[in-house]
Amino acid sequence: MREDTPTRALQRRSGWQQPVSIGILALTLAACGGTRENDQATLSQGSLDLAFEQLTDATLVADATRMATETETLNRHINSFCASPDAAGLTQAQGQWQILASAWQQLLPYNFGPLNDDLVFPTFQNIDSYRPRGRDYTETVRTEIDDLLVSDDVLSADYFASRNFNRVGLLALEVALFETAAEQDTDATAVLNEFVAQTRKCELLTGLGGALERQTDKVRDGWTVTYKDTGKSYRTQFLSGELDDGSTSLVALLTSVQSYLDYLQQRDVVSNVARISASDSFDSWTLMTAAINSISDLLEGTTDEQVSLFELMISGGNATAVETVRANLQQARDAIANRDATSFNASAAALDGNFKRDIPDSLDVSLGINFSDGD
Amino acid sequence: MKQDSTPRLAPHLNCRLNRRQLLQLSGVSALGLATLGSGLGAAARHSNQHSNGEIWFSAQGNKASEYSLSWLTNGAEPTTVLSGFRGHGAASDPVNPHRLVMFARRPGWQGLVVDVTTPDRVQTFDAAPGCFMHGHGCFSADGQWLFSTESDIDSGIGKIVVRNSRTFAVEQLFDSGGIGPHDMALMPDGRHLVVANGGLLTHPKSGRKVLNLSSMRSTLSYVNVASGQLVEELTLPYDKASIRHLDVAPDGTVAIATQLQRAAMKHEEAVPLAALHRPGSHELTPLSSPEPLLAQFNDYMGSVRINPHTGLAGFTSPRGNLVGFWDIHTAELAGYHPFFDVCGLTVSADQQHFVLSNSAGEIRQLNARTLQEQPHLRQRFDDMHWDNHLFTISLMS
Repeated sequence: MREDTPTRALQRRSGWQQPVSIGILALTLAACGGTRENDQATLSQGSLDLAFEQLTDATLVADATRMATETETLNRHINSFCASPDAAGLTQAQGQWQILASAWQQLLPYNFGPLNDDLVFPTFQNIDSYRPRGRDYTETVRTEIDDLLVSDDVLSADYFASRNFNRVGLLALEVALFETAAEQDTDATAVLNEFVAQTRKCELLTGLGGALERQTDKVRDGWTVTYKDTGKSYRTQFLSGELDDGSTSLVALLTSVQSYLDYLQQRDVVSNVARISASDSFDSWTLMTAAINSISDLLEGTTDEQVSLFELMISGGNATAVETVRANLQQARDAIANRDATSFNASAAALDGNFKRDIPDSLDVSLGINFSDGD
Repeated sequence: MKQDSTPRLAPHLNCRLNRRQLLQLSGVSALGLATLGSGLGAAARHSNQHSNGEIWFSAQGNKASEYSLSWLTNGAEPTTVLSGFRGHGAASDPVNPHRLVMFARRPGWQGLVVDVTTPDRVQTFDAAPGCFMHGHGCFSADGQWLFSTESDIDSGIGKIVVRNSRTFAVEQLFDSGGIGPHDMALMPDGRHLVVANGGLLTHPKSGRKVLNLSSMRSTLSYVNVASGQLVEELTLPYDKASIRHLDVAPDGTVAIATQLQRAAMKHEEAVPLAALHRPGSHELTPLSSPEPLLAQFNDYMGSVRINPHTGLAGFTSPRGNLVGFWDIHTAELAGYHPFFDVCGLTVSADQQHFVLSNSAGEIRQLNARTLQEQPHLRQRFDDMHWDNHLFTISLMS
């Protein structure tokens, strides 16, 4: 066993991270009082734990909670619309779907814990059928809707709970809300008229919305109430480093974001999502903005009081790595502004590399030698 | 620590020597002899005085100064022998099981020989002239010969290098039956080697970069150990699956684990990563699973190990952070277990458990029949970073 040092002793008690270099630890939180410039550099267990707790609450829990909230809002609008279908109600429901889709891209980089809770049937795929393999199930959904509109099946909660992941979720709601089943016509008047003419379509829409709400509630409750019948929230387990598969919490977080960035460019997500729901003020670039902003918030922090991952990296003498990542984030934003998919995917690939190397190296975190540099 | 990309021996020596020249060539470097009792071996830590019982051994280390062969004796604190190179596969002498050999990770230049009863004394041997190692090898049934998978640097042809297991002199070279031979095992008949030819052409000067993605051809080959003759060759129906690792059951069933070269594929469909070759069959049987689970493996399997007692074969995926198990008799999925960066996989000496290792120094054990983890048997060694493969030997007093 290596000689124990104060640093290593703190790491073991932390539970959430691998050993961190001395430089990173010489850091004070503004939350401990006073302005940042006047704070003395101190090392405390409380400082480290608080930094990770802030990150968890400000980004991970907040995004999961927001996803559930926006889903509830969508269902209120759906219920209101279906009670008396009109153009305003349809516009409101469609607009809320767009907000929800953005909230999803904010949360999706953190695809672990309650979102990715099962190896075979993870919750996230019931929300987003494109995420698992980059496969577009639009035709599958269209066929499903066509069949349901003429079938006698009772569109109950149990019915939708039994449907395969590629027939429910955000895509199914997008198809139902933004185009007609008959002609795949996205004209709003045509869509409204179909809802008016076929009440069963509203039953379908309500059922799909309810199914999605059960998933997003499950994710939120997993983070905040109890996870997998443990009696403990995932937040508690995450902050104490009690992860089932033996990984540390920081590793789980970094590899999840890395995997998401790899997904963005490998599956050319920007070219393949939110096509039916595109409007003057919303399209896949809106979603990419949400994703990049979410990742940036994770690294930069969301308030002045929060100690961010970038600050930890800088304190460890890795300012160059921080500037590299910031530059790649800016390139991604530039690509979004220019609507340049090639450039955006290249930026995602660069950020993927940052999360594989620059960031874990700067935080003195090992992502696993078998994962990062296997056989 | 970067490996020197040039072979250690004189440049005119290469894999195309005739038999007389090979027999005259000593593969034991002067350096290897000189290190007996000094340098690497002397850095053995926690030298375990208990040389009896069950030993789990593995390449280990996260940085050049820590690269080693390490082992646990009866689950106690690890013993470590520094190697000076990153190891990969290893093997034990079937006649003298306390004698272990570890092969350098591809592209490798050395092997390390250690007796667990005297860990301060080590030997090293070099890759065959003009060749580099791929990280795996095995002994002959009588322990007299050591086989290793290597490649001719100039031609890229895969080789099986035959060494005298006492002197480590290179005695013979066979063609492995393909490009990029990786894992290899002796068949139960003791007369044939089964070789996983990954099909990936690499060159030491370009490191681990694959040079033939578009034309790669991976094979499972059977080679006669006496003649070097290729007696059978099998391929998978997916041409971008590189056969990397294998294990052999007592009845001769071979389980293989692959790594998909997705960048060279024209589709994104999930592809089975594991397969079986049953005795008498002339084709490989892919092992299927529900697509969501298959997708979790991320196109990558690491180690494979068959439990002879239960007939279950385990396949690890460090990129998927999980291990999956299939029944080799029915080819059906039997279960899976999530475990961060898991790669090392072996069977306990009593065959009652699968034993898993990861780079965080953790060891987990699963009941070999029910595949339920035994949490009370979890171990964690903070200073250990178990590498890709784990092995078991049983020592008797």
